[in-house]
Formats: sequence, C-alpha cells, structure tokens
Amino acid sequence: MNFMGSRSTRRNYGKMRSAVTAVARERIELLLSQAIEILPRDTDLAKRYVGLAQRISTRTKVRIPKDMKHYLCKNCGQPLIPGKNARIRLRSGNSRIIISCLSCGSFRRYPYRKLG
Amino acid sequence: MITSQNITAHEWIGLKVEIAKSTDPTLQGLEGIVRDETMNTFTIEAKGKLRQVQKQKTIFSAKLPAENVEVDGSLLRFRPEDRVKKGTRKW
Repeated sequence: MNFMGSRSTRRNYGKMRSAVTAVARERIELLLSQAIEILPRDTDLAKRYVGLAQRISTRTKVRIPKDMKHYLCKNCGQPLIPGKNARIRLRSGNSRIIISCLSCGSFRRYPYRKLG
Repeated sequence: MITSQNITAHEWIGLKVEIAKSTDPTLQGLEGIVRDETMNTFTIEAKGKLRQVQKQKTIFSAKLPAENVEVDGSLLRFRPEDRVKKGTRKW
C-alpha cells in the first residue's frame, strides 16, 4: 500500500463510502430497536447492543439520529424508555428538557425551542 | 435492506440462522436467533439456550425475509463494528 492509495481506490472512494454509510445507518437502527426490545429481559445485552451501535457510528462517521441519541444513557449505556427506566421533565424557565436515567441516576439536559 | 450482496457487511444480531455445516456434529442443524457476536464467534439462542458457535469452518444459512443465503463463516471473521467496512465488496 502506497501512501496516497492507487488511482482506482481513490476513484472508487465515493462508491465505497455511500455503500458503507447506507449499511451503517441500517445497522445502527436495527441494533437500537433490538436494544429497546430486549431491555426488560436482559439489561446487559441491551447495553452491549447500544455499545455496538455507538462503535459502528464512530468507525464509519455516521451519526446516531438526535432523537435516538438523547434517549441513550451516556453514563451506563442503557436505552432509555420513558415510564420504564427514564424520567422526562421540562423546565420551562430556561427551556430545558431533562432526561434522567432511573437505573444509574444520571441525567442530561437538552435545550428546546418554544414555538409561537 | 439486508440482501445477499451486503450480508457480509450487515448486522447479524437478530437474524434467524441455521448451521448448514460445522466440524462439530452436535451443532449440525442448530437453528435459532443470533444474540451476540464477537470476532470469532456467534452466540445463538436455540430453544431457550445460548450456544457459542465458531465462525471459522462453519457455514451459516441466514433466513432473510426474501430468501435463504448460505454464507461461509470465515468471511465474517472481523469484529462486528469492523465488518461494515471490511465486509463491503471492493469495486
């Protein structure tokens, strides 16, 4: 392997990249939906699935969608399900949504925009 | 969509598989859902039991919604997160 890569690898980078991102996006989606499904039965396996999804995301530079990312505990790695292992509160004073993980007790605040 | 083209790069966790060929006679014909994956093994849940199966020298038959695909396990011998890039066919 030379430093710059051969001409053909450079030419095909875009094709490779689009194939990789498409698969990565599907895999992340599949893993997170399965993590939510298996959480009541096996917490450790759910954490493992979330970890795998996050690792696929870093390796392939594909972002986890924001609506999913906010509902993954950054401390213990569980998928957060409101009413089961997460509590959601709105602070209207400073427009923050507070998502707390009830299994490890950590919480995160995210801003929201008021409409109208 | 998981197809026979991108199956070596795609997610195996949650897939229904059957072991078509293995060096271990007790694993022959084992059918179940893949629960976990490491670089060299799959953990398959069959009849409520978890069994760890090596990828090398094993042929898996994956049950996709459209078709059954037979895959040589030695093509899958990468860490699950590395398989996205390494399993993708080179043009």
